[in-house]
Amino acid sequence: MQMDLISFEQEHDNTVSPKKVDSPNGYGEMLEDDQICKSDNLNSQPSPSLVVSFDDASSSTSDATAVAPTPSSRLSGYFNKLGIKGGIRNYKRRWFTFNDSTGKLIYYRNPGELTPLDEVDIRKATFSLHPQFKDSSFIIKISNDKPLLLETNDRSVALLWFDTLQELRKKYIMDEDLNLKGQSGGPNEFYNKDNIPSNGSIFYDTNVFVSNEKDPPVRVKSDLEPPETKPPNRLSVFGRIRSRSTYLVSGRKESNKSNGCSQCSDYESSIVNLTDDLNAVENELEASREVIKVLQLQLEATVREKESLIEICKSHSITDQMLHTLAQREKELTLTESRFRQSENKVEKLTAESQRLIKERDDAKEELNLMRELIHVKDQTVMSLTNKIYDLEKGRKDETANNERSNIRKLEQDELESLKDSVNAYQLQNKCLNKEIIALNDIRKVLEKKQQELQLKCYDWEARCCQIHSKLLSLLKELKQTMEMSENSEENDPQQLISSNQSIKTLVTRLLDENSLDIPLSWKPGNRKRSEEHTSSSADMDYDELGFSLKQSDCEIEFNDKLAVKSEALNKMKMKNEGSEPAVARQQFEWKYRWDYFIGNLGSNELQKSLELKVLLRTGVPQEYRCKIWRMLINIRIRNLKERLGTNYYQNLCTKSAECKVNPAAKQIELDLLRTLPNNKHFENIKSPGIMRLRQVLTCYSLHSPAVGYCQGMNRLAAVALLFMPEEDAFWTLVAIIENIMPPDYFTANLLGAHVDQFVLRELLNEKMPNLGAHLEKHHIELSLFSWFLTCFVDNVPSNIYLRIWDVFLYEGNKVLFRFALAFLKYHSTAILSMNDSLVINQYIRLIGYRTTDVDHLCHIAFNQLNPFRMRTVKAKRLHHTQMVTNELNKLDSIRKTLPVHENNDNSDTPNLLVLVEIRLRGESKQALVQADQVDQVADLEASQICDSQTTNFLDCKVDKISTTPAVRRIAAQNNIKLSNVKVTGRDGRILKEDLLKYLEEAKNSVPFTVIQRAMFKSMTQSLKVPHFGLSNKMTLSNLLNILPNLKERARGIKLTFMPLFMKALSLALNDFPMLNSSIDEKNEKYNTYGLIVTNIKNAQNLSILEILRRDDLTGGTITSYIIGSIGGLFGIPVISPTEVVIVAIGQIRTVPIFNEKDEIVKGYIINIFCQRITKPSIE
Amino acid sequence: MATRGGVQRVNGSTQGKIFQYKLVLLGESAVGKSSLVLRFVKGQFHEYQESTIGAAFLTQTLCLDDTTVKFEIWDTAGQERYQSLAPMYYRGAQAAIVVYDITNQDTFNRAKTWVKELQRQASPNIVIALAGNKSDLARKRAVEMEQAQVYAEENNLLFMETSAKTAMNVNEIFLEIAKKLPKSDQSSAGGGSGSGRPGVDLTQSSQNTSSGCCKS
Repeated sequence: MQMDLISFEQEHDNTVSPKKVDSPNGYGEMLEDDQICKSDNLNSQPSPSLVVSFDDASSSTSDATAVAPTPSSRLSGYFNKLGIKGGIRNYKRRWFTFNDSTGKLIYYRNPGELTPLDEVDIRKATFSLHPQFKDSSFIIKISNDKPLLLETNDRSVALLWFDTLQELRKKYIMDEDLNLKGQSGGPNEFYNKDNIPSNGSIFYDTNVFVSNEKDPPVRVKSDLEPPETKPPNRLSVFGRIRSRSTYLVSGRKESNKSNGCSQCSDYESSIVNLTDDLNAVENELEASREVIKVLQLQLEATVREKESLIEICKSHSITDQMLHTLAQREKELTLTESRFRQSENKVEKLTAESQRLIKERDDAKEELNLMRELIHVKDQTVMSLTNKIYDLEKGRKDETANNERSNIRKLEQDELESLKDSVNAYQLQNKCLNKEIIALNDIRKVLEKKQQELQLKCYDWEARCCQIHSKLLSLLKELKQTMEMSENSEENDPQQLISSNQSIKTLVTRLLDENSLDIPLSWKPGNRKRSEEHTSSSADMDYDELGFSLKQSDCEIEFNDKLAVKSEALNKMKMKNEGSEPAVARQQFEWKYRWDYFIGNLGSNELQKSLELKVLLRTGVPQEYRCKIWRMLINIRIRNLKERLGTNYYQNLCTKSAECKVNPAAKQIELDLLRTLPNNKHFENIKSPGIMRLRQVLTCYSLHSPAVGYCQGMNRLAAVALLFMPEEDAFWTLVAIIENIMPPDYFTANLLGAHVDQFVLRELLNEKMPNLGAHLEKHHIELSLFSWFLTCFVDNVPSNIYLRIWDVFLYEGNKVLFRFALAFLKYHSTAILSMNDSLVINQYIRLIGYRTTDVDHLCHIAFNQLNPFRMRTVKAKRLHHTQMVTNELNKLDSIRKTLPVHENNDNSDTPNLLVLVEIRLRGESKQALVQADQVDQVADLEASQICDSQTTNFLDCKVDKISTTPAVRRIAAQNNIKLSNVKVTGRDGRILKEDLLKYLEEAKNSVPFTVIQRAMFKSMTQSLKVPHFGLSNKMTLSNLLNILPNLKERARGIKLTFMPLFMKALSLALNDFPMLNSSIDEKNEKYNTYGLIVTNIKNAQNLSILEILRRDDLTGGTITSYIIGSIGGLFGIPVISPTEVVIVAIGQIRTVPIFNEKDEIVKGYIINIFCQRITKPSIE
Repeated sequence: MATRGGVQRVNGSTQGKIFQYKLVLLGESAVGKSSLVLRFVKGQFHEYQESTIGAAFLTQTLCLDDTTVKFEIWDTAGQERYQSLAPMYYRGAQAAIVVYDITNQDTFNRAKTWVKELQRQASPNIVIALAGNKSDLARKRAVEMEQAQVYAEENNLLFMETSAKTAMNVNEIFLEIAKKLPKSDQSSAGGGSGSGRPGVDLTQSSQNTSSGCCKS
């Protein structure tokens, strides 16, 4: 700090240093460099006082440690200074620092710089925070000068500066006053100040001062020397300074004035300032003169003293030493005097303070007294007011009490009486109403009963009506057909007429049969009553509402803990009945209500797949809605198929089944009819209505799908369906389950699908319940739950459970089977895990269905605890196992083939693909595609394609990485669409919903290739590559037709077509042209001739196509013939099958006039034959 | 196997051993396999027994002099297409009953095929019994008893004509099988030591599985 100050004095503090008095050049230079305003500032200050104030300022800053306690925290910092140059306002960053010694705020461009840009005397400044600008800016304003606007980022900094500057200003100003006082105190004061040794700077100053006297060796002495010469000298110095500075400034002012008018105002103001200064200086001068006078008086006194002292000296001859000591004493004296003065000042101050305080105290006391008085007065008023309030309240109370008491008594009595009256009246009314309610309730009950009865009747009648309607329709159709036939064929075909008449007769008798009334079995009149009136005869009590025997149902459970299971079930019932009866009842009610609501909403609309329906189905379908809901669920699944097959498909199948005597499945169906649901009264004996329908449904199905034929297990499915649905719908249910819900090959020859599912189940078990899986593994237990999968839980599961499963199964599909199979195991997992004998476990699992008593819990496990349960995983697992199982089954088959076959070992059971072909030809497409060899090929192809389609299906599922949304996937899954087939329009090959919908729209109008069609497409394309030529001819069939009646008679009712006849003729012809009886070996480019190995079909006319085709020795044939006539074709150009050499197309038989041998026109029967053969076969 | 020990104690026969055998019933559909088992196990007979889907599992215990024989009976479905399941059940079986219906020649032929298959595919030591069921319907007989007898002797089979309806020869045929089954410690190794499955020759069964049927 000292260094700083020093540098200050050297460089800038031109007013302070007396050195500059003696070096006017330097001073002038400094002034030249400085700005005018600055010099104004400087000039406005009383320079002599500054010398003094300097000491005080430094000492005061050292006192004010709160503001700047350490050198580092000296008031300094950066501000942005607002400068206006040519009307442009811009802020400049400047380093501001406060000079303690001068009491000025100085600023530089940078902290390290020596030359300040400007400085501001804070004593003259006013500070204000500018409200217009940012918070952190504040203004230092000095009178008659433009304000200095400073800005900083931090408001607190600005405030700090503000405070400190204020403080400092206050101090400086105060000190200044003091100094002025001290100055006027007299010359002693001057000395005293100079001689205070505490501040080095003062010392330095004095030093300079002394050096200016040019008497360094006697510096101290000169100080102490008698001041006769000194004061005037010094005064003259001041005067000189002042006058010079004034002169300089004024001179400068004049020159500036001549420079231009723009600065006139500035100069004027500076003139004013200067005149002010002049006045001040004159005042000062006067004061100095007075001081001089005083000093002169003093001087006189001291001169006198000196004289006296000299006299004393002379008289007393005092030595220099004495003088010296005297002088010292004098010095001490002045010192003590100054101290005394100081303390006097202090005392003065203190007394003033104490007086002020005393005054304040008196004021406070007065105030206190005043306040006390005030409080007293207030208390008094409060007291009086409260008293008043109390009085008022009391008075009011008394008044009201007196008035009311008398009034109320009377009123109350009146009111009471009237109330009593009204109460009586209400009571009476209540009684009446209660009675009314009871009566109405009774009426309602009666009416409800009546309504229910009527509704039931209505249902029955409705069903009956529908049935009769359909019968009528079918009858009318049959009649129409026969009419048409008779019209067409006229008298030519009397046999056909007869047969059609017969068929009508049989139809009529069948339709008239009361039992064939096609309503669901559970609707039979007997059931309904029982379900409602539980008090009916005891015989009926043996059956539940679905006709299941209650006696037998528990016979299944042969284990010892039958009682335990029973008791558990009863306990549960008890729990339900007792503990949570209201809750259960409410749940039941809610469930019922939801269904009622759903059915009500549905109205006569078609059922749509929805989440609501799914959730609802999982809660189970109420018995009364099962018929309706199941029918609709089935309809969703096979709507398309049904449309394709036509409305009368089932009726046609029925008539066909009546005609067809050779149904390979019939034997097994017959065996199983009574073994389907032996404990259900609808299926208990051969005459039960259920049995007849069951036979019909199963037979029709075996005709509908010869590939499946009949498989044990299907009888249960059909029977359960029959309980809830009419015969035809039961049939469609069977179709839906086998062809739509279950994966392919589930019921076919070797139950491939069912086999695969056993493995899948096992794997799923290991995933979902690893400990149970391990447990079963440990005990070598193979889960073979075929019966559950093949009968959809109808086997070995109580009916109430499997009906619940069916509710969901029909909607959600075959995944449900896994869910429930696993749920059963999970339900009993603890029990199974506690068993350690394979035998016991096997036994337990075998009857696990009957041990399960809580259906809701089972469903909960199936649908909640087993999640996540993805169809994708099931499909993947199926794919994984299919190949393996196929291989194993093939191996087994091959082993079995090597076993000796015993005679009469009829393969009637296994469906023959040829049967399939034949039936398809007859029933479905009416397209004639008959040729032994091709059929064989087709058989192979089909077999391979079935395999292929499976694998591709599975592959499709697995490889299905086509990018699309889950919603689209769902739709695709619902509609069985391979996403890979859908035309993509989305970005990055993404399938959009629109794409799928478009595809669906197209699919509606398109029918996919059947297996045969696909095979044909392939082979025919191939064969068009073969070079061939065609030959067409006409043949008369008169002779053949002549012998036809005879043949038909011999056929004894078997439908005889022309086809076998042609076949026979053709094969006979081949006897003459053996070369045509050959095939091409493409690889070796040669013909394989079969020479005379021509089949001679015995009794061809007696064999159906089927039978002809089934002759093993016909395989490996060489000629294909198309009967295009059966579809009304006259000409056809057939396409050669690969490896064959000839193909023949046979057209329709036409009746035309022809010439006979005698050139007479007679009625002739002509067919067109078109023959294609390979060009240039090397026929000899 | 702890339970097995327990059984021993319950029986109280100190010297008696318990042998557990797996027995499988094979034969054409509706010849009476399930009825035979039901008669043997529960002593019941239903005119119309529900057709078996897949297979049914039952157990019955027989007492032979000083030993107890426990049968683990697998009653299989008869329909032709279910025969693909059969290996699962006859694999590892120590005994088999091939059933035919005496009123139906076809079923007898089918029985013969089953015998052949068992001889080739099942464990070599399997005890096979041939049962001509429905002997109560003798007046509708289509298969002569002698014919079957001869066949049985040729193939070293136990043979009896049985009737589940009248219970004729039902227990007897099971008893005969039990007697014929080997009771050496070797074949029922597990019986004495208490480890493994008694009476099941695992090595043999595994050989058979490798030779080809449906492996599971």
